Amino acid sequence: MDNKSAIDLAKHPMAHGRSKHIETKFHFLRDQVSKKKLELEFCRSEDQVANILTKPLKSIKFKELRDKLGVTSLTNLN
Amino acid sequence: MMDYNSFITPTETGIKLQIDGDEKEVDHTLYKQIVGSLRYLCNTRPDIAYCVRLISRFMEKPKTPHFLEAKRILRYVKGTLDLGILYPYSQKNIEGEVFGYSDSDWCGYKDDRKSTTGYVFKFGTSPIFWCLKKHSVVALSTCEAEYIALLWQPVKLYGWKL
Repeated sequence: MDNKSAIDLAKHPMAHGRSKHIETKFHFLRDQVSKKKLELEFCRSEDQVANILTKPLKSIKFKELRDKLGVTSLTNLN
Repeated sequence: MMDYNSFITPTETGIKLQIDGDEKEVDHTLYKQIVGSLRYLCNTRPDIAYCVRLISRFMEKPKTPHFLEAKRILRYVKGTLDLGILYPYSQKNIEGEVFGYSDSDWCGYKDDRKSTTGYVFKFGTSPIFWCLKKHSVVALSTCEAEYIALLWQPVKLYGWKL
């Protein structure tokens, strides 16, 4: 997770003018977090491997995240 | 396409593809065949998941820019044929926790302004599950998009129903 405000929204339930319009079913997340069934952690942009799935990246960043994701060259294994 | 040079990345940065446009339409069958083959490749290659999803939105009316993007992916694949996911034997005893990473692009799809969630589950160093999904609702802020995105992972992991 790389968005602090979304984590705050899930961890500290409070009525909030700006989150009023979010559909109720998505607040299920908040419910599960308060029951300690889920744990949310902030993840820095450099370690956020899900970035490769949501935005086009430049070549250096792309290669770096591809390695972190676990997609590796299989030719020189032995 | 055999003589073409390969690319380092599968997409240009800042690429914006839209359904409407004045460009010429291309051969539907060929386009669908390319997308179909690339989707099959996505089963072992999460690195091209993003761009394949990008081009598969235009299956109905593929136009020149969409086709060029499809060709670029093929050229990227040509240069990275040896890549794949490895589940090392040395990790067989890891009492692993599964880590999930989730991210969303707010308003990534300009035609209906919906956001897309991407998430990966990793076990040790290797990815075991990944998914890209367009939201069912329009998010009004990045925070809301990420908040909605957060819920997809546990839903998948525990089989909850929304």
